[in-house]
Amino acid sequence: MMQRFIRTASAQIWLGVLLASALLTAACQPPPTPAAPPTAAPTAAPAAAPSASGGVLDQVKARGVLRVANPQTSPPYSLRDEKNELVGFDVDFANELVKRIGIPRAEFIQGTFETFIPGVQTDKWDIVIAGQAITEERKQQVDFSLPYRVSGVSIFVGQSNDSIKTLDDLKGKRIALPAGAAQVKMAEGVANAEIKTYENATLALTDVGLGRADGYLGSRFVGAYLAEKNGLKVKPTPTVLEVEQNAMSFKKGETALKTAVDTAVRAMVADGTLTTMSKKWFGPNEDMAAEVRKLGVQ
Amino acid sequence: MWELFLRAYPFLLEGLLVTVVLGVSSFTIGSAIGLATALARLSSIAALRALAIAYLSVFRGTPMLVQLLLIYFGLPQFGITLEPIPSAIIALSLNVGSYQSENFRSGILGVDRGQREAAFSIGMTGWQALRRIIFPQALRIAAPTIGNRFIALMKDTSLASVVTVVELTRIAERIGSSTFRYMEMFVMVAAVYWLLNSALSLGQAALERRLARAY
Repeated sequence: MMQRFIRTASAQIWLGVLLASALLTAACQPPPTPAAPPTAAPTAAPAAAPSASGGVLDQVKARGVLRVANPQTSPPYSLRDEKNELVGFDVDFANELVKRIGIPRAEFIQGTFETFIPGVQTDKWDIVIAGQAITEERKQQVDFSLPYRVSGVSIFVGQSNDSIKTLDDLKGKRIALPAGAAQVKMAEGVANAEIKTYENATLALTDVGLGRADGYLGSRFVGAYLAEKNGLKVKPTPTVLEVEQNAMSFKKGETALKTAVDTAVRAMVADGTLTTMSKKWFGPNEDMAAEVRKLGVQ
Repeated sequence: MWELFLRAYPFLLEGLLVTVVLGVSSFTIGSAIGLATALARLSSIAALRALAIAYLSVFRGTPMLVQLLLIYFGLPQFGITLEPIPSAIIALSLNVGSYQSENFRSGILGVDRGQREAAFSIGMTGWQALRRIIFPQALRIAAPTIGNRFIALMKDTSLASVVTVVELTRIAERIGSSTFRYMEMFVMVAAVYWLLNSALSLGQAALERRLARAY
């Protein structure tokens, strides 16, 4: 009996060592450099010949579809309406963008702030149009377009809370955020804070309203919008902690795609398209074109 | 990889602690619920049997993820607001309890009828017969499936991450998304789960040997 036990145990250990070393070897392989030519482009038809450099823009044009990632649970940027149709500012923006860069249509794929960048790197989608904040860490992984909107970031607290006004007041408190949001880093800088991450901003804010978290860090505009739509018992604190520049992201080194996208952004700022979209989704007093012009996007 | 591991391991240990606490406490509570349900199903009182069957059918018939979301995000609509860890323990316990009730029931039914009759014939009460004669034998029969469920539960605890419990899986996701090194982090966390469950398998083998000794 004991012998059999030893045999099973050692067999299991050996198998495990084998498995673990295989995984480790796989994990230690350097990630493929973005410059490396794709070994096989499964989506491109073999007849489509060597389409120039094989860059993302060429692939997208050959395919006739731009694969766009967005959360689809993030009103008013991307959300499902009563008829389960995908609508929102980012959706309108994406549809306008494909028209301007000469691609027949956009296909929307649901992602989260945690999966957007890995998804770009592993070709799950061509571009993320979800208002990702431009950050240094992200810039090392992906390239960003010109900013196409901005958002002021504030702390949201429960309606009856008057003690939290600044980041310092959140020390040792519970901070709610959507997983993968740019503000997670800001929250990590608060001493002893307990960081709670959620599938989306609505759930994070809901928990602040319920008292299961003390503060939410995120866009003032989105927070106010969600609180009003869902009757959440939260309010923003007066201070704007930072102004985020929100942009689209795609694979590094895709200059053709970046040029095409940036040209379209400039045109949409110049001809009033962005202004019209802002008023439609954010209200009559909002003009994202004016905001991004301040950042030098003309 | 190594320097990432050095950076991550204090957090992984913290996550492991939460995972183990969730797993062990839910398994203990769930087993108690399971035993009570198994006895209720074998009882002669029709109302108890119906109640047990209703519970089993709901909690074995719906996904654990849905149960977790219901308790954490659903219940507040009825004014019941629970913290993340209690929510997770309640959901995991109720879920594992439904499986455990079937494990216990199969063990109890697996004990020869004659054992019970013999217990009664020497003057034991129903409770005595159950505790001294039926249950020790039932446990031996059910031990492999019970161990199986414990290991499955240890992995199911990863679902608690959706209700903001910071356990192993959430730690891996969090460090992964701040370093963009998902592959390494998930390999690490998979290895931790595997080591934990390998230890449990060895423990189970030892327990089964111990239980077999009586024969």
